[in-house]
Amino acid sequence: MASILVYIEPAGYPVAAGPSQASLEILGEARRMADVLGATVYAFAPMWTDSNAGLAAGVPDIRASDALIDALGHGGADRVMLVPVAAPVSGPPGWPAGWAAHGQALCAAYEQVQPLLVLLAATRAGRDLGPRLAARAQAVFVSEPALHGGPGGDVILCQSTHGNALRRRLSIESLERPAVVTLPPGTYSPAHGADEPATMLQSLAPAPGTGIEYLGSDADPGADLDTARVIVVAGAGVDTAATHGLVSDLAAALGAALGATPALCARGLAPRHQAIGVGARHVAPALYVVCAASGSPAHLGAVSPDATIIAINADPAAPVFRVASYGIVGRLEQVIPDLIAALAGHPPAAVPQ
Amino acid sequence: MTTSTVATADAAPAMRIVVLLRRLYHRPGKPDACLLGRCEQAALAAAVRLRDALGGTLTAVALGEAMHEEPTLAAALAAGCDRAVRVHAPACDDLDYLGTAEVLRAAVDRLGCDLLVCGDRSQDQGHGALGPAMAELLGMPHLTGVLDVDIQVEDRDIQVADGAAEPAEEAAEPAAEPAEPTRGGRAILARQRNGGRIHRFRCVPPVVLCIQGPMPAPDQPAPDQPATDQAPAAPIDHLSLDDLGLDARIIGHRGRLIGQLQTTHEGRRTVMATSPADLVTRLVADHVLR
Repeated sequence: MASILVYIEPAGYPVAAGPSQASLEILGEARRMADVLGATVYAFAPMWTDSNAGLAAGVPDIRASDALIDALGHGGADRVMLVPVAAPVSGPPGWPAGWAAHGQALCAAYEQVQPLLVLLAATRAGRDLGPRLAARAQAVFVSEPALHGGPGGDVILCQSTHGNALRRRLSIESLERPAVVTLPPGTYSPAHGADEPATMLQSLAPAPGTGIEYLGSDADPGADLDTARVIVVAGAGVDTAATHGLVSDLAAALGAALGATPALCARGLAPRHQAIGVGARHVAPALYVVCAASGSPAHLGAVSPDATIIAINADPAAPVFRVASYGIVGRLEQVIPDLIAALAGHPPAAVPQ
Repeated sequence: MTTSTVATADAAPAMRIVVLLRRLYHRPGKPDACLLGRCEQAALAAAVRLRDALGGTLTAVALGEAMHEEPTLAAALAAGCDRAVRVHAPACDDLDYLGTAEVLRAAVDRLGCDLLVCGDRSQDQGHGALGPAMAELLGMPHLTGVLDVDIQVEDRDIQVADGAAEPAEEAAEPAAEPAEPTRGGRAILARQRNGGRIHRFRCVPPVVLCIQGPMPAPDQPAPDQPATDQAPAAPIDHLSLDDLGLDARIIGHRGRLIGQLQTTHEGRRTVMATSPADLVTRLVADHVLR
């Protein structure tokens, strides 16, 4: 029977508060794919432990193990592989998830399971781990594809490229070797209510050091953009503080996070942490409202192809109108006030009530 | 400030820095007006600054056809690289991430490398796979999504790049001039955005850094304009698969693993609203709004 291996990223630092939401979404999708492919789902779950005594014995905290196994079982896993990860004896706690912390252990799990498919959320951790695991395994690597059903129970991976203007299509059944796939957060839904609880396999050895030392962390002021379901972004056409204020008002009316194109940030009209673009921040909202931005690949290439894009631009020939789902031509000073008034009582469907 | 040491001898070995570059394509086979994508621009700028702070040599390496990659490498030389190497492989544009990495690894091995710098993900393909794959083949640790880099030398910090994130309260003072080539211990401080936090790492070469930022400052020109009428500051060296001891048939099989390319906007039409009220009506009807 084929296997699907899912990397479960811890939620929160320094001590994990269970699996991350993105990981549960990916696990749910793995469950659905496994039901189609007739595969077994293995969840690889690194566990932080603050018990040096327990860690020395290679044994994770039992109470935390039970809770995690239950969560992953209900989330769709058939088997759970728990990996105790060393909390440093000194220095800041909580290595962030990624290759340095989990890579060797994930490779060991891969060797043990020999999966057809490895799934990771396209978070920083997933993008740090996935390609290197794929290279280690000589596997195919696919970044953030859309998933479609194919004939005869096949699964088709469609990866967008060139600013979402093109896509590459791969059939899992036609691949000659395993595939490592990162999936965008916020696109899939967790599974609920597995028939059988997951079974814990043996714990793997903690990952050895990799030559990179962790020094600690600071707050990311733009972190809300990473998980926002609705984002309103100000583009280079926002040329005054007053106009930027209108864009901010629109974000408030939608309950959205406020972003900016790198061009606007480079001009100093928006803080750098709001920048959305290739080389800045990649986002995966359900709804993306673009205000006075041209829609360059450097910008929209950083937005999930699954996002519904609404474009507001004074130039009817702006390239953004070729890729947006909805558009309205007009100056922001004229469109936004009337749009805010019309939005009253109509919140985005993507935002839970 | 703690001291991180690589070598204790008075004369540290010269650092061999390699930066991987790639022409930006608007469509497959059709170069963009900009030479480099955002991450490659940031990688080139970071590599030059690291060379200025650490000393040693900086070599730019690109895989591809002469008509596309030699302008890229000429711009890299103009930006401050000491050497440029173009690697040519048949059908190299069709290789997947691992085929590309296998070719580039052979070139990097031939050049010798203590520090590999590359863009975090390309602006056209967007896989973000080459850096980690290179690290695996070279047997080096790696960090993806690097926002900026500093150098730690003895008990001083020298900032060599503008931060993409807001500067931390305890940020080091910016360096007014590039440092003299360092002696003794040296390590690279890198920041990465991950899980709602900005994480800080100390990396001691050999290491692979996949650069995501920073964005150029408002008054800082980005090295993305082709030096069309400017001769390269140094000759561009060339390496073939034969030079690297690679078999084109073995590398070429990775070209079958990239899938079929299709356009995505067949039949897609943007729904154009006539007014804000019309837009909201359409969005409610399509269940985008409640």
